[in-house]
Amino acid sequence: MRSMMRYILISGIICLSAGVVIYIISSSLWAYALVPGFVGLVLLSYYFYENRSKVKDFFIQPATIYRGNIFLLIVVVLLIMAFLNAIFYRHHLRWDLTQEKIYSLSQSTVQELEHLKNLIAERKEKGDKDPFEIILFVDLNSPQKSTAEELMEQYKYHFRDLKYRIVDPDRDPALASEYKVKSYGVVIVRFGNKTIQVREINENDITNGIIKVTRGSEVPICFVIGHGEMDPSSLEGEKRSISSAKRNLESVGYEVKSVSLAKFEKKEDLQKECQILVIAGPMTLFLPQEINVFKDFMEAGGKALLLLDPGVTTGLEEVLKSYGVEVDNSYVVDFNAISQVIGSGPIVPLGVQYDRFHAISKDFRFMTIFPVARSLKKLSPPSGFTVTEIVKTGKESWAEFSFVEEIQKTGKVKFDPGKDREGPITLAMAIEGSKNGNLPEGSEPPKMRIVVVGDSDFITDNYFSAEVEGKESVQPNGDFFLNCINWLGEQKDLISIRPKEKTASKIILTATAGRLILVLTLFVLPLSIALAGFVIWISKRYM
Amino acid sequence: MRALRNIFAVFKKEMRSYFTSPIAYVIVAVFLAITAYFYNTILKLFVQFQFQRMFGFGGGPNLTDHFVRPFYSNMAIIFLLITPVITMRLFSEEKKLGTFELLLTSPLTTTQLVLGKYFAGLCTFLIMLLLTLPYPIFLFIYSSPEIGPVISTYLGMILIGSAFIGVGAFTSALTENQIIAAALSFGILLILWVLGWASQTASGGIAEFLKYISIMEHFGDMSKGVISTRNLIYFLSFDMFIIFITASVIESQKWR
Repeated sequence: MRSMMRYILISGIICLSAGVVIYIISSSLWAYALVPGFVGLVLLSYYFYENRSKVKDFFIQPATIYRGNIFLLIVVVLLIMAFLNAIFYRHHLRWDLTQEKIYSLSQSTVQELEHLKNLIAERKEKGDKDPFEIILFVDLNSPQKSTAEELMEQYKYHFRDLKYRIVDPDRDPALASEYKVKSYGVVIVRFGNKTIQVREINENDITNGIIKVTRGSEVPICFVIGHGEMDPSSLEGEKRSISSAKRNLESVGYEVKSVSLAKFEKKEDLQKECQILVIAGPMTLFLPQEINVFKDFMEAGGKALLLLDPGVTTGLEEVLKSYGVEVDNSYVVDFNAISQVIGSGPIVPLGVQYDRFHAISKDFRFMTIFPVARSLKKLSPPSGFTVTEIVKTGKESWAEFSFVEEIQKTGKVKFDPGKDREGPITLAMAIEGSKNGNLPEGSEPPKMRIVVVGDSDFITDNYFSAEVEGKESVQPNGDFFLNCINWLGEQKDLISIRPKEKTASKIILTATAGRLILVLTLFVLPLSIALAGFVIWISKRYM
Repeated sequence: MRALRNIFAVFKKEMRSYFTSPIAYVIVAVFLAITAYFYNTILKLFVQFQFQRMFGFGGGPNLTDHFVRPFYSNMAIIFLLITPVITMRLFSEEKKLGTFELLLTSPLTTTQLVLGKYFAGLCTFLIMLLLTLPYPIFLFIYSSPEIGPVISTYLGMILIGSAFIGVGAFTSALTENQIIAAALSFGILLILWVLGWASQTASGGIAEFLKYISIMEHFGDMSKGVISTRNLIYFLSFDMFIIFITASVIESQKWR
């Protein structure tokens, strides 16, 4: 009878455990879990019933009570510890002991976060329950995930209630398409119902994103129309559509408008409407009053991006000449090996050399494509002006000054020394300067900035970005365009945080020193300890 | 105070038995030899790496990232393997020798007993840690590493040592067989260490929880050069908890 009881107890426990395990493995198999579970329960109930006096005695035993108490006490202590840890998890202090303070945020970011806290509090008072959020789209299996987490933890250290999410666009495609996110490493900063896209996960870009999205108004960019230029209101699919460019500009906080220069009599009116002008591929002459208002606007500290295609005269060429840039009447011909590989012809020059110091191009590494372009020539700029050549083609190219005739006559182009200019050819230039005029004593003359590019098609939808395998989208042309706009934008309230560089140190070690270290650490130290042990052992044996 | 004197008495006796037996010396010598091997290997690799980088762009690699962190991570793992050997005899030997019952019936309270033995184990650990000081000293002679991360790494070492010794004391109290104590201790420490990895691919609440429990995660922060009260509280509560359950286990054994 006794052993039978034991078997019943054991099988009861086994059945019940089996049931629990099956349920844990898959809750959908609960029917299968139910049978052994039920059987187990029956067996155990029978056991406990038959042996109820023995069971009672067991539980009354002082040892059991004592052990039970201790167990309970342990659980309570554990809960207290967990609670304490949870509290201090939220309210913690940290000290960054690295030399460059690479694990801490800069002062500017901390100040911006203080400002953000006030803005959020205001919105919450007005009833907005969910005013601010940062969403980071990363590949959860890549080191980007921990970079993103560490960075957000630093932000949270200064702003405890900061809401953020780290999402994998593959696992949550609905969210990714809601925010129009097409690649990894994109951050969305949302304030109210305004959102801004930040294309890189670092302190500088994210803080600037916060500044832009909480700012009251957006920087207006005006696309000039009236001469056959590309229009931002064009729809995707139309010829010369620049809907991608428009979308990208709006997603980083610009307001995109179309203006007709003829409507503005004075530069002040234009200044009220626009901060940056974009003249994207005009096809006819500008009216003299348009050119005048443009000049006045620029010399009062205006900013403009001029995309001028070959074969067109606009009247702006003289203005640019006065600032130090000559817009050639040429077509750039490029026999770069790569263009043969990607299937574009010799009249699609590739930008392969970038100025290493200018803000627009200094870290730029990609190859840009300029379908049908004209060359630019740097003249000696007037005093107060600097002209930088930012994009150039490779050596297998040249500026062809009799393109149309040669094509019509022979169907081919040939380099004519003396007439044509051999490569590398400049496709884009940046002008910065101020005209010294009558100004009150001591005030700074307004600085104008112009970027001139010898082509406009490079920002059309086809060339703006390239879809690679559906998910990743690289956009060298688009990034170049955005870099130009950002440089022109030069928004004063944005900050520039130098990326923190880890302290580099050198180990100056002679071979002798190296051997000395090796011998000391690997032999002298361990052996002397072992020797001490040996001495102890010997002395014990012979004491 | 009587209590402190008792604790110190247990501590003294334990230290004496540690260092009058050759075992401790062998363990320490082996530990130093292994770490020396790692040290010199990483040193050589770093000098080579630095040489290559010099041809790329000026500056060179960061000592903390490429020397201090990998070296001390290795050292932490070696400690993880070695401290069970140090702690296995704390209680098990007494039980084997039969002196355990004597201790239990002495005027010592269980807590004093546990604390005395724990501090002895901890002190041995600290001695081993002290003997590793030549490594950063050499580094400071021949180069200029960031001092902050070195300090925070050593602080981290002390803290994980306190945790390792605690776990070892606990498993030693569970059994009279030293091998079982060592194996259990080793197993627990390994699981606690490795929990951090499991959370890498998971996400959400469970991942956060696992990451927080993992000793490696807390040490990782400190080896980077960041000291956070989160880590300090974790180790403090870990140590207190483990000493508490060790004392509870021994208390319950009084009643056998």
